[in-house]
Amino acid sequence: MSLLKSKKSDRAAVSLVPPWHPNFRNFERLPDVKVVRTSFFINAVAIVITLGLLSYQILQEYKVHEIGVQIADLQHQIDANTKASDQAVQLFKKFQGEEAKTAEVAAFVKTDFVLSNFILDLGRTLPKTITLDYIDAHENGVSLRGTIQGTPDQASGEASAYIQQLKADAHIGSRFESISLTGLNRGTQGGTGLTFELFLKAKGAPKS
Amino acid sequence: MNAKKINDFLKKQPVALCCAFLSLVLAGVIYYRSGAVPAAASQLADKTAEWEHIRDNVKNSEQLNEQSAALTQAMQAIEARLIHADQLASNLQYFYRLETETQTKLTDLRQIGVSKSKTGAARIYVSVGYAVATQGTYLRVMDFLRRIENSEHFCHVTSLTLSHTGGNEATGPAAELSLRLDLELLGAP
Repeated sequence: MSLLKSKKSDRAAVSLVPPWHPNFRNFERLPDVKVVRTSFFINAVAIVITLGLLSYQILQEYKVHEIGVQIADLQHQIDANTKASDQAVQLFKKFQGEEAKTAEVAAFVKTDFVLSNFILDLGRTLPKTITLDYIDAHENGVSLRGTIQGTPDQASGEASAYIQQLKADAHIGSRFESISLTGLNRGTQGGTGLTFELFLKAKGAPKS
Repeated sequence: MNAKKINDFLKKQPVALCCAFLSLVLAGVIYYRSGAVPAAASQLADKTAEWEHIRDNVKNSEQLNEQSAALTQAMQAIEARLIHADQLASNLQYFYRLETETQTKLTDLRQIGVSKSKTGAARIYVSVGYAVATQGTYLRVMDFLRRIENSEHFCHVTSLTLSHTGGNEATGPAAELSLRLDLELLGAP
């Protein structure tokens, strides 16, 4: 029994060992039997790299060429228009010079205070009891001297009313910063009426 | 041994060898020409800017000839209205002609100096100062003043004094008035 058992276990052990045989192949002498050879990959990679570099350089040169064409086109247009441009620049400089002259003339004659109109406005607003004897207009303002008829009491009231009237007038009041009575005296001729003096201070005039 | 192997490998791969050589050459060329595109682009930008400048000049000057001609014509008209400070007789004649036309009486007339125009930054022209005094009725004096203000010459009245003439007792429209003006006429430099 025991012998039978040992024979069975030896067979099982033999079946587990792989079949052995010697390998006499010399790999160096054997031919390359690969479907795709290594040299193909080497050549393919080398060609791809070379073609890539070549394509890149051709593209760059093409770009340079394109830009060169554009530059040549622009240069052609520049050459064709330079003369006209230079003439335009010269003409414009002359134009600017003459424009400066006209601007200076315009600035010289420009005024928003026409003295003749102002005198007419004074005449238009002058009450019947008041006579203007003296008008002095200068840069800082206008001095007015005149006579008011009537008793001193009435005349002084007339003077105040005249000042208010001048201030309220659209053409006169708006032109001046202030209108003030600078003198009010008895008349020298016969004692009736008062002489007055007004100062209409121009806007922006320095303080006296 | 290694050198022999490399040599054998190279002999076996002539295409790869050529490609490697070409790649090296191309890499050199690429390196050498790497600045060509940016340089060309920069040159193109410069030329474009130059062209745009010239194109704008030409485009904006389409009507410049007509405008310049109109301005030149206007300048001729302006310069005809300028006085010349050194032509005293001619300048004073203008005021005497006004005196005649307005039937006033000039009592004082002086050319008081030449200065650069106070107005305008360019100061191309000069202003010639005058002190003028005239007498007449209200209407005549106002006519004189109006004509001065709207004269054939460019005029700027700097101060005005209007008063009764001394010793004149008349009133109303017949009253004799005295007008004193300080004025500037624009003159050629």
